[in-house]
Amino acid sequence: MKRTVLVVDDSDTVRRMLRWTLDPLGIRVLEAANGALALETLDREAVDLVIADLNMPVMDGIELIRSIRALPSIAELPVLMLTTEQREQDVQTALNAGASLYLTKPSTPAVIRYKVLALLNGAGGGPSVAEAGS
Amino acid sequence: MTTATQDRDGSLREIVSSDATRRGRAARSLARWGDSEVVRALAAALADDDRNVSEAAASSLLMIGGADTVAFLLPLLRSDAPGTRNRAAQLLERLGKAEPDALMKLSADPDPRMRLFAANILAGTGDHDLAPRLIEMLRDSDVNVQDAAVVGLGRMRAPAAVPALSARLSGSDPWSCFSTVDALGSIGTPAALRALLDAAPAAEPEMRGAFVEAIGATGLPEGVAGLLDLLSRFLDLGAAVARALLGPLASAVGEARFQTPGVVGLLADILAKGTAEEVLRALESPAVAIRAAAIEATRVRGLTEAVPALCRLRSDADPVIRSAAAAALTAFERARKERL
Repeated sequence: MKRTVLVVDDSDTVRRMLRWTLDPLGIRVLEAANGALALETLDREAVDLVIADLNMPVMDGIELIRSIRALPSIAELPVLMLTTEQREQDVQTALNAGASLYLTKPSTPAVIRYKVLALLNGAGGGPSVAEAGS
Repeated sequence: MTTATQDRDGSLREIVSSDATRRGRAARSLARWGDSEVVRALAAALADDDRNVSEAAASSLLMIGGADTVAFLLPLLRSDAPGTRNRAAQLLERLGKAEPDALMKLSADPDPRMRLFAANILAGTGDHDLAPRLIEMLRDSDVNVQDAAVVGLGRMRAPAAVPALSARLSGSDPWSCFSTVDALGSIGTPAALRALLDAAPAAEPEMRGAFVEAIGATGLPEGVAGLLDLLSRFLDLGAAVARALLGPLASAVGEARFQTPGVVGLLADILAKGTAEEVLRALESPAVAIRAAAIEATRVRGLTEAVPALCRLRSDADPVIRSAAAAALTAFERARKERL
């Protein structure tokens, strides 16, 4: 069965880029433009992994992670935060909120594919880790 | 003291009260005034934990606008709270057009995070007069700022950026290349399309699908010709090209020059492998080549759900479609009799 990744970013370009990046893995990609829309999607779709930006309108990535962790049915869902924000306090806030992995841009398709596969296979979903993107 | 002044002063007290309903009411009420004290209070309320209050403050600041509001919003981009800096950035996209000097200053900030916000905000204004600054930012020392400028120019659909973006197509970083290809597709002018068509053959194999999608996004008839040429060189692009021809280029495919057996065969092959819904939708396409391909796909797949549409297509304006629909229905009937 195809694995499903929900990409949450307010940039159309980034969503298309991640779709293009994950396409060779045969992954089904769903999209949402902010955290609130992502929660709506999670309410009706079975999702295996969320990739979320930090800075988004309406509901940012931190609020999204906190909401996911507060909902028992999806509380264990791995969340990869992919952002340009590199400050230590942002990394800590995201990890404290429950991000499974914090990856900073610029990154490469190969790194993203590797991390996504690791999280989908449970290898990266343990202790939270912050990493440079490339 | 007038009633209006009492209202103003009362609202300034209420906006910091412990009751969220009262804070929200005060935030809405303060839109009637636009002095510095009010703007400062509303800007502070953007960080309110209660979403109704912060959204009311944002609405009021939007109504007030002006240089004072922009000046109070800019420092909020440095907030540690993502929600606060995002709300400030959103408001600046709406208000910054009137204060371009403030945005220019932000775009030269020593902190790359601020320059990145500046690129997003400049793009969000949609003001093409600000495109030259975004084009300059393509040479920023920070790659994320460069990328934000690329994405911003695409979002702004700035034709003036085509030469500078074209020069970036030969870069080796895949994501940077993707952003540039995507931006050129969004700009969608003949010059942008030409840049994409010129660069696509030399692109890394993994990038070619992105080129096809961007060429399709232009919606230009020359994109159809270009994609067919690209396909003749890279046969593995069949599915991507067909998706573009059936999607954003569908109306361009309607031109008579594309009604060739090769194009119809390509589209039919892809439709035959797609979903029934895609075939049924393609039967309704205004483009003759797409209708012809869909009819062929119904025959290959034995798609009986298509019979009502095929019956309608027997009265199509195009004689080729009338004939193909009739032939498909005959084939369905023959197959039905054989099954009996």
